Amino acid sequence: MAVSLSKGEKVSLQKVAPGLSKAHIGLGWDERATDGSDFDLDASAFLCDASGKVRGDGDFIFYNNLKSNDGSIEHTGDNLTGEGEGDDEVLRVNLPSVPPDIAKIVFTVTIHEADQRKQNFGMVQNAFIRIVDENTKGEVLRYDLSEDYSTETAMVFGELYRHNDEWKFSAVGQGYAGGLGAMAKQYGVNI
Amino acid sequence: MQLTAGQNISINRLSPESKIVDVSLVWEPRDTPLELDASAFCLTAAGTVRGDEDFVFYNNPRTQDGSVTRDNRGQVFSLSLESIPSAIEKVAITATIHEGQKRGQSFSNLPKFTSHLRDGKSKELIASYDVDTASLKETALIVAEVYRRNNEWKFRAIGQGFVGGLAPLATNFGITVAEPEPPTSAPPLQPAPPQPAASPPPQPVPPSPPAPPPRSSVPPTTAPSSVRLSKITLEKKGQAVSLEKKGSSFGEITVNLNWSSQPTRSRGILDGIFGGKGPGIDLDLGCLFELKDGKASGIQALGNQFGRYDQLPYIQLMGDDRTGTVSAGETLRINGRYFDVFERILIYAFIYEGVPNWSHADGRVTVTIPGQPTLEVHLDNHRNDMPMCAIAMIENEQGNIRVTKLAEYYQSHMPMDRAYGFGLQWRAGSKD
Repeated sequence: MAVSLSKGEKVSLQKVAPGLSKAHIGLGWDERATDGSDFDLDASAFLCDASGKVRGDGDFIFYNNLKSNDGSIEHTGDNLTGEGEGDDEVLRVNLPSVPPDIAKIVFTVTIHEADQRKQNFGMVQNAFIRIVDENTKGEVLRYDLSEDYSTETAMVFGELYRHNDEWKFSAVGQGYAGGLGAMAKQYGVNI
Repeated sequence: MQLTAGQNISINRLSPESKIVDVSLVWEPRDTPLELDASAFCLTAAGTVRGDEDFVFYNNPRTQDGSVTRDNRGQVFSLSLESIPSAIEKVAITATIHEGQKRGQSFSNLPKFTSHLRDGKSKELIASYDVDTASLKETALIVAEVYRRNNEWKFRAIGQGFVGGLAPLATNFGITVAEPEPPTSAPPLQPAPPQPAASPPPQPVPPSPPAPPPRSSVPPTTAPSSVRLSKITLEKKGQAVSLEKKGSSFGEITVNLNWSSQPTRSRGILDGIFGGKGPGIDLDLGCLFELKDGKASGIQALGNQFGRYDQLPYIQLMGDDRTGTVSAGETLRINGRYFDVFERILIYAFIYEGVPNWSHADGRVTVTIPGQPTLEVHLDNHRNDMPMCAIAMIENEQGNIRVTKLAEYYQSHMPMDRAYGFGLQWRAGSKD
C-alpha cells in the first residue's frame, strides 16, 4: 500500500520501500477537458550538490537533455499533450548509481508558454508525483498536490534527498512564477 | 478580493459566517444580442452529475433538496453550503450562449463578464472574478467552481469553456446528450413547389396534438415542411431532460405580414385623379386560435377583432395597413409568456378587397421568436382565384413551439376553418 503524502511531509524510502534501487518517478496531471490552447507541461529534474545548485548544466535533466552524464537518471521523454492514463511523464532514477556528491534530486513541472497561453497550475487538475519500485512494480508513495497551487506557472513537486546515508522523499508542492527558465536559473543552470 | 483564472480561495476562511453563498454572473453590455443561459452542475467526486436533478438551469431552477437554486432572472445561484449532500464534491457555475456557434457569437463579444461570490444573507462581496473574455472563442464557459476541500468550501475561478456550446459542456459533466434534431430546422421554411391547378382540395387536419400526421395522399415534395423551434434537446437515454424552453420564456412572438402592392391604391381626392389606374391590393393578416380549454376564436381587422396582448387571448393585431406601403406591414403579437394556454394558432392572410392577385402582392410572412432563427414564408404558391391563404400553424407541443408551413388556399374563412376544424361561426363583415 502506497504512502500518501501531504504538502511538507517527508518519508524515508528505507522505511516505506526497503531495498528500492530503481525508482520510477511518475508525474501526472489532468488536462483541461475544455477547448482552448493545449497545456504543455514539462517535467524536469535538477541534480544538486550540497549547495543546492547543479554542478553543471549536465545535471539539468529535461526534454533537451534526457540523461545525466553518469546515466543514473533518465527522462523517458516529453508528453506534449498530457493525454493518456496514469503518469504523464516518467523519470527513472537508479539510486545506488547517483554520484555521492549529489545531495538531492529536485523534480519540477513547468507550464510551457504559460504567459502567452494565459495558463497556470490552477487550471490543471489532479497533479501528482509518485514513486514506483521498478522491480516490484508496486507504488511506493504518492503526493497529490492539486490543492497546493493556484496561479503558479512552475512547481517543485518533490525532492529525493540524502539523509544519513539513506534516501528520503519530501512532498514539496512549492510554486513559482515564471517558467522553466526561471526554475533552471534558481538551481544554478546557465540559461 | 479580485481573483484571476485558476486562483482559489477558502470561503470558510474569508467569510466564516457564510452558510449560504450567492454566485452571480453579470456581463456588459446588458442589452447584448447574445442569448445567455446560466446553469449549475452539482458534481460528485467523479466530476459528473448523479442525475438530471443535479443540473440546475432554466427548466430546473433548483435541486431536489433545494440546496442549489437559481433565481428568476437566471443570473444568481444560491448555494446552501451545509445542505449540499455529502456526495456532491463541487458545483460548477456555467454560462452558455444559445446557438452561439451557429450565429458566430462567442464570449469574446462581451467586453466584460464577471462572477461575484457573495454571502447569501448580508450580500457582502467575498470575491470577484473578471473572466478574460477577449480571447474566448468559446460559447460555453465553466465560470467558477464551489468545491469541498478538507472539510471546507472553496471557490475557484475557472474561465474555461467549450466551442461547441451546451452539449459538450453537459457531456463533460456526465449528461448524455441526444443527437441534435435532424437538420429540418437548419434551413428556413422552403416554399413548396407550385401546386398543379387540379390539386386535390385541402383535407381536414386532425385537430389533436401534437402534430398532424403526414398526409399520405400528398406526395412528399408538397407535404408541409415543419420546423422545430425548440432549444437543443439534451436527453438521457430513456428518461429525458429537456432543454427546450418552456412557454414562460418564449417572450414576444411576432408574426409579420408584408407585401408589395403595385400599383399603390389611391385614396380620397386622389381617387379622382388616379381612379382609373386600378385598385391596389389590401392584404390582411389574421389568425384562428384554439386554447387548451377548447375555446376557439379569431383575431383579424375585419370585425375589429384586434385582441389583447396582456390578457386573453394574449394575441394582438397591430394596426391595419391597407396599402402595403407601411414598411412594417401588419403584425400579430403573441405573448409567449402565456404560450401554455394555447393549443394551436393558425396564421392566415386574405385579400380583403381587390382581385385576388397573390403574384402581384408578393407577400411574405416572418415569424420571430426571441432567440430563434427567424422563419420566413413566401406566399408564392399562388392561387389567384382564391383570396384566402392559410400560411402556418403554430402548435404547442408539450410546451415547445412547433411551426408548420401550410400555404393552402381557400375561397373564404369558412372552408379554411372547416379544413382545420376550429369550428367557428362566420358571418360577413366589413372593416369600415
